Amino acid sequence: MVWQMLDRRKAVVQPGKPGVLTDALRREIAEVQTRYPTQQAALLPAMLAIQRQVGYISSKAIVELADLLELSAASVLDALSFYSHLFREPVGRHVVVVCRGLSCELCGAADLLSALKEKLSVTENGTTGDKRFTLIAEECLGACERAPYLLINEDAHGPVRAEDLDSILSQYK
Amino acid sequence: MTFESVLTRNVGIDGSCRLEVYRRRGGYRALEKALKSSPAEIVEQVIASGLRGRGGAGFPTGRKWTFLPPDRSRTYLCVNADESEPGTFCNRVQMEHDPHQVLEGTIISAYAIRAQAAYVYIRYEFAAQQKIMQRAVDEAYAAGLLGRNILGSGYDLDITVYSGAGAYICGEETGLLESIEGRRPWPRPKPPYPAVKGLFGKPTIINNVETLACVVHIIDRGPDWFRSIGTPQSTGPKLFCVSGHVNRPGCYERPLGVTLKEIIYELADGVRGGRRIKAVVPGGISTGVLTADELDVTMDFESFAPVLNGCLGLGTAAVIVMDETTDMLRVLHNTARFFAHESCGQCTQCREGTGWIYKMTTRMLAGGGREEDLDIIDELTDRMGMMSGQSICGLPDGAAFPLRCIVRKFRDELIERMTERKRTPATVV
Amino acid sequence: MMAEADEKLIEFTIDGRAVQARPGESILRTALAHGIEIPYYCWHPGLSVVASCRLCLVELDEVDSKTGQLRRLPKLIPSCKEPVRQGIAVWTKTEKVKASQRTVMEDLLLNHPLDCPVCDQAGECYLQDFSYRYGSAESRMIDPKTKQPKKDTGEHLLLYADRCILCSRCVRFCREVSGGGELAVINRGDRCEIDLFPGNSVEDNLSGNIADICPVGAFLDKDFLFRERVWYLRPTPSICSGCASGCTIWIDHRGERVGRFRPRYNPAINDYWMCDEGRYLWKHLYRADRLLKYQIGYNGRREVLRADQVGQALSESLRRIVDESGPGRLAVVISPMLDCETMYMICKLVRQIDAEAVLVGGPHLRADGDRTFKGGFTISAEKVPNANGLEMILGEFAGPRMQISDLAAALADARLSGVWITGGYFDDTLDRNIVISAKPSFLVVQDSFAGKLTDMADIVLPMTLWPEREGSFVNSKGLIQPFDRAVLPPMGVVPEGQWLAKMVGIESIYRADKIREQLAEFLGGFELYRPPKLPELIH
Repeated sequence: MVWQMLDRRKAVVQPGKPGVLTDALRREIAEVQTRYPTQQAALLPAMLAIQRQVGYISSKAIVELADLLELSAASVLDALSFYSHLFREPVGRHVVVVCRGLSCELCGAADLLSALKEKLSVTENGTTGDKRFTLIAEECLGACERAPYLLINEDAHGPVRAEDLDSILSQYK
Repeated sequence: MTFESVLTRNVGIDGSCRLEVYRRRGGYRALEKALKSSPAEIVEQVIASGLRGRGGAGFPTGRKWTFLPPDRSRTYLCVNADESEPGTFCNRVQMEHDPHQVLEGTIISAYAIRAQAAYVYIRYEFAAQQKIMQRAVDEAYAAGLLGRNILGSGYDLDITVYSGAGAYICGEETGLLESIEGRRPWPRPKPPYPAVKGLFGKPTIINNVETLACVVHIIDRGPDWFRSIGTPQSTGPKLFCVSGHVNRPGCYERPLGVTLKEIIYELADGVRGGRRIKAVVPGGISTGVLTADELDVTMDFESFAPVLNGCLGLGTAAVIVMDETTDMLRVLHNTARFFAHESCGQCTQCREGTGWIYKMTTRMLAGGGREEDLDIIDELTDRMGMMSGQSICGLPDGAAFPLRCIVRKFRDELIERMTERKRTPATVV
Repeated sequence: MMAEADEKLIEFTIDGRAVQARPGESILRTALAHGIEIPYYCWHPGLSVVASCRLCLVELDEVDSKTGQLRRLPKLIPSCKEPVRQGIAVWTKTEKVKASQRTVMEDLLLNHPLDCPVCDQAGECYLQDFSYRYGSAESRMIDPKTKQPKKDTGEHLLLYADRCILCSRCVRFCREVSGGGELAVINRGDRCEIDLFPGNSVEDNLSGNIADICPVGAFLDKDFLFRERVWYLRPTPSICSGCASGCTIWIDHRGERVGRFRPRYNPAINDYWMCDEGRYLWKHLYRADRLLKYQIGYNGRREVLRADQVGQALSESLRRIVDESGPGRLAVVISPMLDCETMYMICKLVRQIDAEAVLVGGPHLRADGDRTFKGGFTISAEKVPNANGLEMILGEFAGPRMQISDLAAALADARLSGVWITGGYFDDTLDRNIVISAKPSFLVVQDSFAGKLTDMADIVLPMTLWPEREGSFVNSKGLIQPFDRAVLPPMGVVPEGQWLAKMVGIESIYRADKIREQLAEFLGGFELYRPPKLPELIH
């Protein structure tokens, strides 16, 4: 029997290292805060702003954000961990999201996902060795008329055939 | 009588997202008209039009607005653009091609309910559409259609375009509110309803994108015109999404009350390869699944109420067509996975039930399925849901209906598939 | 159930039985108060209501406004959230309710490890109890259980996350009662777990309460881990001795050995909570440096006395001092660690022997300030349990008094011939505050632990710790609260009352209420405050 006891008492964030919240980010978050009557309401927009800038939300970012919004770090982690598209770990330069909604499934999404896994040599949620792509499969992305559908960063691709994959992926350096 | 599109009238028009094009084509006429009436008069018109919410529940919109306490000082309007119901993409089409129509509907409705602020909650994956909406909002501010003293009426309104981060439950009214408030989006027990105690504890109305777009036309042409379209109990035009094994998937505008067959065979040009239909999802996966002999139905709220052939209501009227080659076991698995993945985790029966069903269907695909599992799934679908009072929100109801439909209507096929896979287990993708 | 003067009670029925409730109360609370069991997990009287576990669902009939008849509502209702209404009929044992309960129990046990043989919670576990009463004995799931890791979450807290049923009481406790917000739910759906941000563990002095409120064995007290099976423990009502707040507690003991302290409900002081400092005080009972023998020094030698010899030896020695030195040369230091009854008996005895004996109030122990948590729970700055009792009793005795700060000077000037010092502090407060440069001719030290003073004493009297005697403390707000004796003192030591009481005229077996009668007369009133009992169905 393996008893895995995680030590949650040990801090993972070292103080003193350079902060994640740059002045620009802080200004952006300050503007967001003007739109809501509570500090906590700025949390999701702030996390998205950090992710747009840095690609993911690190433990250090959590601590700084909690400090800025006067929340406990646990509350930040609470909200962060709920959402599918907020990343706690670094991701590739380009996030490839395969839709596995019913319509896309009916139009071959499973094969598309397999083809991508093979082409990029990654498992689901994995990042390529050169940090170029992270592959994610997500529930219905709301583009069922273009099934099977791929969302790469903010770009819509669909209907995608396996033979189109090379040319699509080559657009993303 | 040829049907005149209003919701999609600007789709395909060059520059349709721009204010000047929208205005040139008659846009913001309704807003000007609305601001000359009192908010109460707008509410009356919307009630008179018979408009029912387009987000899935079909609740009469005007009546919802009357639940706001009359003596309130602060009111919020939230636009629910979190569209995540599998099969549904019409909100996306509207925002993508005609953001100002959505915006105009928002402003008129905000005025009607005396809201000082509105939030347009757009799902994360619609990043491109978020940008389009933001540009439209910026144009509106610049043109005095938003902000202080809109069109000189004395009405002030601020709109914030708000991005989600990937969670189906944020499309649930109170899940959306919790998300905006910066907490984990666990839906709130009701009562109290958002109209009484909503965003930041204040009276709040949450309306779907398409619902608000309809408001533009109700004001523009009058409630009687709106009533002249559709059926007496389901008035107005509706956007029908069609996808799956059809030749022409897309978003089509028709009056409510059009037949399902017309949608499949005329609007979507029939089944690919001329194949036969095996099953159809009539209103987004949460409503359920119809078999090929159950397709003689009109697409309106009353035909589906309370339950039609095991399907819960008209839902989002998003049609997904499955032809005879479809593996219903994979469909069962896909559905189970969706709800297990999206269950927020708050209520015991939904959290554990959807998780368990997903584990069972995964095992079925891997060759370990038993008939008994189908019976358990059938039983569990009765033991979750807001309608019976067992859960806080409607997600488990949405899980129960399609799972029950598939397990009952396609039992023989499921058993056959399970047996096949026991002989030659495939790897599950 | 007492209503305010003109507050009308709501009357309705549960399972056909007439019940009453105050307006605004929930159906669940009313049921529990009437001894009607409705199973639940996420509700707790000291926390906000979330209605998420769905176990407390009931059926409800309400009066139809048109027909005036009772009409069954189609939906199940969460009784923890639904407020009581006049004339409704609540049904807790219908087929619909039972089917719902069976499903919830099956769902909760779906991914729950079968840990009962190694789980501390066994015997006071509501998963066990409710499965037995409302669930089924077998699980139908043949798929692998979702497993979550174990986590070290604080100085006193462990989280076995795979046992968690996500009632979220712990999260609400940290947000609403302690205010630290250290715990949160992470992830979504059946991947949800309780977690905290690494480095911000629960170290806030209220963490023990989290193990109390966890209805299953997910949150565990490290101190109690694998130590006792709870069915061997018996609870005795007592008071915490850690500070002047006077939180009421239960002492759970197995025979004569204390297992743990738990908070006892008290709406006037601590509600449902106690602090960690108080919670782990029981360990002092078993310290290696406890004084265990009554000793008297003769000619440089110490002789051991039997308990029944103590009273006489003591009063003889004290009388000799008075005879030799005259009145007013005897002093007694009354420790605020003592209970009112013992304080009174000592003062009375000493004044019987020397009418001008000097009464000295013992050293207090003050921290910087009261510490009040978000939900109102307060740890007093005064770290002794009976400072107010001391004031009350010494204040009533006329005659010579002295401050503790003047004692050293009085000894140095040889103004005192005999001093009786009482202690009972958990630390070295006595030694720090009473520095004797010149030993008086006669020194009695009554303390629980060995120290510098006990080394130089002529008579050493081991003092029991409060779980070993009965008495009462007066808390910071002036409430006089009684505590019962939970366990016997170590072999050879007896509760003080047994040898003191005889000296002040109580002939038969010592009982605190006999002294309380005397105290009431002496003080002109001695009214005890006993908090109301929570219905036992509240967990």
